[in-house]
Amino acid sequence: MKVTFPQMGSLNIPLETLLQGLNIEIVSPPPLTKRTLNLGVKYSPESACLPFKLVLGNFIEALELGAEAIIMAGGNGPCRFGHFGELANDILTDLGYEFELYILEPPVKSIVDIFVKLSPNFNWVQVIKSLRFAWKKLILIEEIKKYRLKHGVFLSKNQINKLEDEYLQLIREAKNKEELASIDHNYKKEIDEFTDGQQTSLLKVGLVGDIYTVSEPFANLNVSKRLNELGVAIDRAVFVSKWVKDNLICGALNISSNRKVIKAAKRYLQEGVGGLGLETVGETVLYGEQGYDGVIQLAPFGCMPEIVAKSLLTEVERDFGLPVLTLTLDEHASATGVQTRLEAFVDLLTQKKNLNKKTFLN
Amino acid sequence: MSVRIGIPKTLSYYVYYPLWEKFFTELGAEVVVSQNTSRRIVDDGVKETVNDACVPIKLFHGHVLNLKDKVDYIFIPRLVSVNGEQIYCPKFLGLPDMIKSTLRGLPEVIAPKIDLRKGRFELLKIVYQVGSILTKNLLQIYSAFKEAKSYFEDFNNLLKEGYTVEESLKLLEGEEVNVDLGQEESSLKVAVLGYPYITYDPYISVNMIQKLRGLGAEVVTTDMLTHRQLDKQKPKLKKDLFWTFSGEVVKAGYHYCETGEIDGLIHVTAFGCGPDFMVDKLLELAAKDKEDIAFMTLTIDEHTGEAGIVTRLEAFVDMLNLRRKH
Ligand code: SF4
Repeated sequence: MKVTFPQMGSLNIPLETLLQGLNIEIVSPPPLTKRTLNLGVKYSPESACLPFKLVLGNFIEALELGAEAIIMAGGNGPCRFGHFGELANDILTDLGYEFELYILEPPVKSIVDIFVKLSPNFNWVQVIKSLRFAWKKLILIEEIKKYRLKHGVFLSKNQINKLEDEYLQLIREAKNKEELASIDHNYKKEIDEFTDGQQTSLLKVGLVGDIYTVSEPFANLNVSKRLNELGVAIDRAVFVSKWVKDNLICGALNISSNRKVIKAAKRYLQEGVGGLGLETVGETVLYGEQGYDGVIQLAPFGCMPEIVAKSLLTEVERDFGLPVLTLTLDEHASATGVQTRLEAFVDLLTQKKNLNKKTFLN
Repeated sequence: MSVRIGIPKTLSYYVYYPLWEKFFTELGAEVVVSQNTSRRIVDDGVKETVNDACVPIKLFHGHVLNLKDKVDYIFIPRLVSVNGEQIYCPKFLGLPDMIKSTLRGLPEVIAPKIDLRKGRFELLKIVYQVGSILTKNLLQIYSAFKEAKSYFEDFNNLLKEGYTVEESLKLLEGEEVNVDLGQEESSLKVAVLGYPYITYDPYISVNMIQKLRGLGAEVVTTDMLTHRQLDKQKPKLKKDLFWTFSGEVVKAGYHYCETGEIDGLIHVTAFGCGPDFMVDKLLELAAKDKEDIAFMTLTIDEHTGEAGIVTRLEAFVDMLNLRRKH
């Protein structure tokens, strides 16, 4: 049975490694394009959020390519993501597609059962081996992204795209640890060479928000590369590996992770509100404490956790004198619109910084 | 002078008001409710709240502003889980925080966290925590709560008989209400399904229930069903919705579709409501399965005009009447 899964950022790479390691036949979800979005918009309820629309559109494309089963994560809410699977199932079935849907949800036993069923020759040694290698790839992908966000300042969007695509492909094809290590090394060297002799960046910005929109460049219209191009060094608060550690691993062990962030948020928000709402508030506070110049919040239009967070960020902004820009994304968002708002925000931060310097010198 | 506790007349007011009101008055406080929703309250709320929030949340901000200068405390419980299983939408979870950080110069906010997933004992703790603001007398707190609970049961029984929240509250106070629930057998039956703070708020729902009754239709709602009846529908969902109100609405829809007692189903939803992207689709699919049940979604937003809604209601009822004849 050919299996597909939702695309988000470069998540297809570690997932391919994992599933292929279990000898499960896969149909990798095609890259997100305008067509994906159009399909999603056409068949989703209008008020669904952008991630749902993209995931649904992408499922349709994968089914067209011959996928016979879909696996995806579930959840207990209150973010709508926890119901994506069931709703997508109803909609796709109503459209006449035939497939099986597997929702990965605790308890762990039910997740294992799914893989036992899908894998023709399930064995634990193989599972652990593939899981570890997939995890290594995930970490490396995040590592190169972090490095670029921080050091790839003033590089053009196209330069970054080219470089990143090239290296992601290498990671995708990598067969062992050693290859991964040299990819890591070479990538950083190339970035350093590119930026050598360039102006250094003046501004440091934190990136927070909903995990899908932050991780998927198609959804956020390449926000981070645009910012790099404008000369901003970025720290991204949200990564899949971090999310997995905080939610799946610590969650399963019932220990509270992420204590620092929750504590930082406490003055403003005392309760988790699903998705990454609490984290958005906490991380913004931490960026404020660390003297960042600004924070950008990415949120799909209508995202409930991020709406709650946004309403609290106004106060954080006031308390820390930390400008926060919220970019709300939906199918109508345009690249030019985003670019204009980013440029205006960067101007504002630059002015603020110069002003501070002046008062300091006086 | 007794302590004045303000309760905003929206959101959970429409579900729990009698419980809180009785509890607080038994403990000697004066309960002050914000005025009925009005243009002014809506506009005030819209001005203060983040753009993307749903209408009910904006409205809530407006109601708090309406109370602000009239009371010593404002009661905004944080509803996390009341039935011990399901939770509420993220905006309910963050409600007291949103209010406190958005609105300036508020009186003290009483915001107990109600999360009964931790067991029954939790409820007693919350009751004590809230009651102790008014008295340290344990016994008095418990007897007040007992009174409040039985009063609350009466209220729920009235809802089950088919009275609206407004009517039930009046009846509880001993006032007369002028409705005849014993409709004739032949009259149309319409299910009006949506969150109680939308369907029962006369302003925001443009009095939809009364209007339908006026057009000769019998109206049924989610509140008229017992928990048992709703629970029976659970197996039809691959996974029960994790939002309490949304789950009730969907199950009520399934119930009325199953019994076939209704001619039409109206889903009333608020613009900007997150969970409803799912609720609306599920109700639509349920009604689609039943040829003789017509389905309509009415979306309410801050600009909803009475005229538009009334026209749609009339057209819907006309259509149902026509279908009946054939
Ligand atoms: S359930 Fe919908 S309408 Fe109610 S508060 Fe949540 S988002 Fe708003």
